[in-house]
Amino acid sequence: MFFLATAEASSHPPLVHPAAPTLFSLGPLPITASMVQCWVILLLLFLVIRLGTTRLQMVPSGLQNAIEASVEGLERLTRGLLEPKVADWCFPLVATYFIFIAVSNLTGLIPGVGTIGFGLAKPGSHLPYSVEHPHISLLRPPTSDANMTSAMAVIYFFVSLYWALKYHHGPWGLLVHIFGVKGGMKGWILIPLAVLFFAVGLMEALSIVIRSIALAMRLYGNIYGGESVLVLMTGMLGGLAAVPFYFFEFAVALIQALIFTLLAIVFTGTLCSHEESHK
Amino acid sequence: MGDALVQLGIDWPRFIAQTINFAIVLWVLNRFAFRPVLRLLEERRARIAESLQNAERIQKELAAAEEARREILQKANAQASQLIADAEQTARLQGERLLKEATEESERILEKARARTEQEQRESRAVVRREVGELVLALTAKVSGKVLSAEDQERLRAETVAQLSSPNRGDTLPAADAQRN
Repeated sequence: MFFLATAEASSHPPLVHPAAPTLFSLGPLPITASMVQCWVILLLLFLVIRLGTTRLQMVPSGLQNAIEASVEGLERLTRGLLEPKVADWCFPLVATYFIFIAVSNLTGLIPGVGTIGFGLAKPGSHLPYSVEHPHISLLRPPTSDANMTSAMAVIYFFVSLYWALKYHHGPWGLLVHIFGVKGGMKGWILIPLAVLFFAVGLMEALSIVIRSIALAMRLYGNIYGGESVLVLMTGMLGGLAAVPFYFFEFAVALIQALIFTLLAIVFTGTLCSHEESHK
Repeated sequence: MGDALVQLGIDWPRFIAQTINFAIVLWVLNRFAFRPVLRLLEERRARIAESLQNAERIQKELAAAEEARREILQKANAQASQLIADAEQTARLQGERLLKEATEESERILEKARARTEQEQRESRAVVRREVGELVLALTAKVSGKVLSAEDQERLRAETVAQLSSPNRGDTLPAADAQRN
């Protein structure tokens, strides 16, 4: 982990701590700023959805239009890459990934998120309660908390494994899919090919595990990195230096949501497909 | 590895809490957004497909109705033309019949008139002959100064009648008179 190595090598603590700050504890459960923002996002999504879908009309208008367009767009994306029955299984999870990640990333760009909190008082400032830097911010995007990105990736790992077992009719089918000799060869050539495909299967099995870790760390790294850059740039040129990075992070917010979603769909596609579909 | 996880702030309680948080988000979105919207989209797709089918069916029915209308119009036109032709034919025949009857009637009337005229002529001639005969007898008796016998009267009457009946009686009368003289 490169950024951890740099964090340890430097004597200065990072501007934004890699871990989400703990605001308070409920017994053994620490409540972090990212959890609070997750609840805020949940509430926001719930309100928007209820407003837009309480009275669904056959001829849509207003908010219903926007919700329908989002759901239909994500459904088309999923159906375009997966078999129909796999797309049916997969759609709710991958659509939730996109919506949740995009909203979480975008809310992270709202002024005040990550910058309002507790810290050392800023000496000589004419504003009351101003701090040098909020070491404990009240809000933090859930996607810049490794716990949330890991939770999403672990959920994906187990759910996709369940889909794969369902698709291949049990563990044996899945093992044959991963380790089996492909290409329809027959005869003595099967012996060296079996060894080769077993090795390939081992790599495939390893990649299945690594994919989930990569999904979690890619998202976390991008959003955490973006937040750090924004905090750093806000302190330069009276905050003007951060303006282009805000545009950049706006794009990153949506691109990362799309990447996570697309990769989840594609990985599901590689797990839940027959040999014929590779041809 | 353990240090890295600590640096990232990953521990079981937070991880489990975030897993539950994400599961709630997933449930809320699936329950209140995806399911109703997908159901609505499916319903709308079905309705659009049904509407298109209906439109196609209506189009076909319209075309069939148009075809039937055209056929009915053609039949009606043909029937009307036939009726008109029949009526014209009937009228013409009726006219011809009436004309013929009228002609025959007029000929009959003319014939009757002619016959009556002839009859009247014949009767008039008979009357004239008789009267002229008597007049001739009287005149002859007066001129000759003698009483004519029945035989003479009969002969004179016969001659007079013969003279009157002959077509050129104008020329013969003086000759008869000359013979008598």
